[in-house]
Amino acid sequence: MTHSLLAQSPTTDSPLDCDELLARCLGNADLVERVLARFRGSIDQELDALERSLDAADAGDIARRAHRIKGTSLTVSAHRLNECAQRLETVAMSDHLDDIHSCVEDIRQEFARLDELIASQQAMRGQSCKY
Amino acid sequence: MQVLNQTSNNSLRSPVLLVDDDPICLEILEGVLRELGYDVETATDGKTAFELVRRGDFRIVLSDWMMPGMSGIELCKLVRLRQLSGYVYFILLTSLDRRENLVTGLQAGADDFIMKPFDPDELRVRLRVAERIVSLESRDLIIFSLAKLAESRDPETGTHLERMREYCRVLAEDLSQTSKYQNIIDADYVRTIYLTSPLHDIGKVGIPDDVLLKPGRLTPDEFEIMKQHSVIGSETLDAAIHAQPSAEYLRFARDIAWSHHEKFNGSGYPRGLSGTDIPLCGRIVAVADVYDALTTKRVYKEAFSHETARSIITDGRGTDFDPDIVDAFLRCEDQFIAIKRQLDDSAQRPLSALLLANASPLPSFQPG
Repeated sequence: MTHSLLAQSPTTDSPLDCDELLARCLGNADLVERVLARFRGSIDQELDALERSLDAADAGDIARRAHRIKGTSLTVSAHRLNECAQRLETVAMSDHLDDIHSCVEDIRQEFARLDELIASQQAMRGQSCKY
Repeated sequence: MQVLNQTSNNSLRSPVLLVDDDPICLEILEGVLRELGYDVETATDGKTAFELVRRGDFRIVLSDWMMPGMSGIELCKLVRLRQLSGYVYFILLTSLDRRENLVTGLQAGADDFIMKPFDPDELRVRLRVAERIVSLESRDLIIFSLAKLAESRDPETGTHLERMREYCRVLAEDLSQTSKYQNIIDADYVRTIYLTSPLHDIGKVGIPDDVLLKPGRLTPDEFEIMKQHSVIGSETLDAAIHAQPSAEYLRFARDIAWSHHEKFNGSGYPRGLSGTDIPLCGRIVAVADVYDALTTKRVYKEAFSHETARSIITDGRGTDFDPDIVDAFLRCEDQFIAIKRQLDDSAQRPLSALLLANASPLPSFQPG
């Protein structure tokens, strides 16, 4: 069984390392699908929560949320998102909060890229059952 | 209560409790563990997880380190603080950048760590280790329970098995320090004799009540029947070995069962072997068994003092007993006296209490 994401040419620019994720799921493409669907479903919630913490200027809460995104992104092999979350966590825990908005913006953009990628693959799978 | 899922696919593996506040991490871990054949239950917070552990259904817990509310470390400490019915193997899931905090995890009582993002092969291996540790404890408890069950037919023996295995441990540990035995008796030998010596009289289950429970000395004919317990015990354990040839501890138990009434000069039973033809484990158990029989009250005699027992055992040096084992006994007298005092029959507890107290019988398996 081939994961539809694997059909794409992997590039270092890809927001998701599908080979790695599939290997972590012991080659179970159905599990990959479920995990990515759940991940996609959580994106809005994560961003909303992050925005609320940002509005409240609660650096501790931002750091905690960034840490969680960091863990999730590692698990689903979204390495660029992981880097963004790592930066946000570091900034939120430091005294230099000036960069915090740009870090959150990076995360928002990376989430958008992932959302688009997963949505397109879900649509492809719906048509051709490639998972 | 945040119990997300429960399964019952009749897996033969130990069920695993997964704890993580991140539902995506839970989903992938749960999926992978199911692929590996485990029954899995999940919880998204430490409080719920602790209730599930306390319920007693889980011997393996895989918990995230950082969680809101009760953290993985706090959950681990709580599990260790409570007297649970069996040992819970606790694995903490942690980020690579928290590696320096592993000491904190160990101090909290964690058994192992898995780094995020997890590697499925590593996860598989570490869970196998967890299962092995948990099954060892179950095995030890089952062995001791069987021995207690066999012994329960004889109301006189009280805490004989508890003292016996302690005496055996002390003798084996002492011998392991001598040049003659240091390459023969290692830590594994000590653990195995501690584990299996309670099975020495398991063959008594095959002895008729009128002989086993006779309130007085046995006639020669009755004694011949009683002597069969060593053969019955070894044959029973042989059947178990046949079913599980790789279980070395069963061979050890069998050797003890048939040889603990052999005498160093060849006058014992059932085979009349002498000297080092008698397995070492049987020679050790012989001294421990006789010492306990001498120093406890039986229907046909009062309990002898330690000094009297010491004299009888010393008199039997080279005839009844291996001189090396007698010498070890003399070096460890104080420990024998202390064990006798600590596990005195006058402070007998019910069988259930003894089994619970022996849920983790091997000292080396105590959690750190």
